[in-house]
Amino acid sequence: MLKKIHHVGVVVRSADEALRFYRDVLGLPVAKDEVIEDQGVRGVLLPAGETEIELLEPTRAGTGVARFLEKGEGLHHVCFESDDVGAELQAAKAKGLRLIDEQPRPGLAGMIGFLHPASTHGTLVEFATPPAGGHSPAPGPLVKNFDHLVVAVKDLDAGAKTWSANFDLHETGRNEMPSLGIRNSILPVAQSNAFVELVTPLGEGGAVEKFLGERGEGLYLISLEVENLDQAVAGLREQGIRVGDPIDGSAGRLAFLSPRNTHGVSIQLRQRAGSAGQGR
Amino acid sequence: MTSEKKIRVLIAKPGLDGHDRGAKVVARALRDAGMEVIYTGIRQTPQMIAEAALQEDVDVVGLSILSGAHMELFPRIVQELRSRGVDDVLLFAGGIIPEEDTPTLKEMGFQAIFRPGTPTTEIIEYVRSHVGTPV
Repeated sequence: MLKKIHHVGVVVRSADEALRFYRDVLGLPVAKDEVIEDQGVRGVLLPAGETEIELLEPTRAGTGVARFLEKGEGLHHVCFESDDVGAELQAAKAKGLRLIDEQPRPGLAGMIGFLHPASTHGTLVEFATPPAGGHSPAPGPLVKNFDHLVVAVKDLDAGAKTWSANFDLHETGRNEMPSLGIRNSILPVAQSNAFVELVTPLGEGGAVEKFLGERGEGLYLISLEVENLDQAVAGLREQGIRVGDPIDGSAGRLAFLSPRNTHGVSIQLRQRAGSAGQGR
Repeated sequence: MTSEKKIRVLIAKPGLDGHDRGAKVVARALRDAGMEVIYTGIRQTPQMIAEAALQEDVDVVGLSILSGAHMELFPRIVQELRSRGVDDVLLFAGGIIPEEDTPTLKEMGFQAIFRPGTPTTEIIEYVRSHVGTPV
């Protein structure tokens, strides 16, 4: 049973530089910062509520993370948390998914295992069972929680089928949003407030279509929940961060950050409708 | 980013006119010249154009207009870009824009105005030689 999105991995050129944004500007606490020699990466975990951002800096050439970086910084993988990563890998194999790791192995997030992106519409997916009594530092002053993960797919039906069948997700709705140039499918993650949103282009030449053409299907954007969007936008602008104006949406208000400031990650800030932040 | 990073261009059509053949021709020409081009489609508000420029982190914004509303819309687009901190993009415009408006538009930051009949090679050359040297 997959319980929640444990973390989203972001490949960066320099973790120190990326920390100036993720830690110093977004105010996320650092829960772990270590070099994993055998994988050739420095990993930094920054909790954003119940889901973490994992910064990955390659420490040597020739690794998957180093090769990824040749195309630029950005979103690299998503990790779902489970109580039994070994059972998840077996179940995935039984469903016909290709595995990178047949057996769980130790990683930054605990015992982990990766699936092959060919099985999941271009998204690299990891399962993890974190160590018992794991960390959960209080959220920072700006980001309240990880809100949702957006994945670009060519075909919404095929995408929704793959994601729901493989990751214990259940589609709760679809929308057309002409102003954003997308159609989407909403898939809440069990036992968590977060959800996966699959998006596909509506019309021609838009951002999602261009993304699919350039990078293919895969992780597109992360959305972080804030308590007060206007304050958040004003505060970020004061620090020289490029942020769009708040946009009123059906389920809250949104503002987008420029990838120039975020190390290649498209980040959306969201203030959920209703101040409690529990609704969707 | 890597040294061979492609030039990123947003081609946008503000206002109400729906004539976008010119915008599409320019978008295609810049794409064929090896740039990454996003075309917004027609009837974009100044806010929508500024949002797209920010979210796509473009180096260049090209505006196409044939409705005659450029003196009203262009300053608003510049303002919307600046309020979002997007202050270093190369701006250019194309379409039916009278010569007499050129000085004001240049002051606003539109370094080049391309009128009907301009060869696309001229636009490509302009973007290549001016990108990274904004106002």
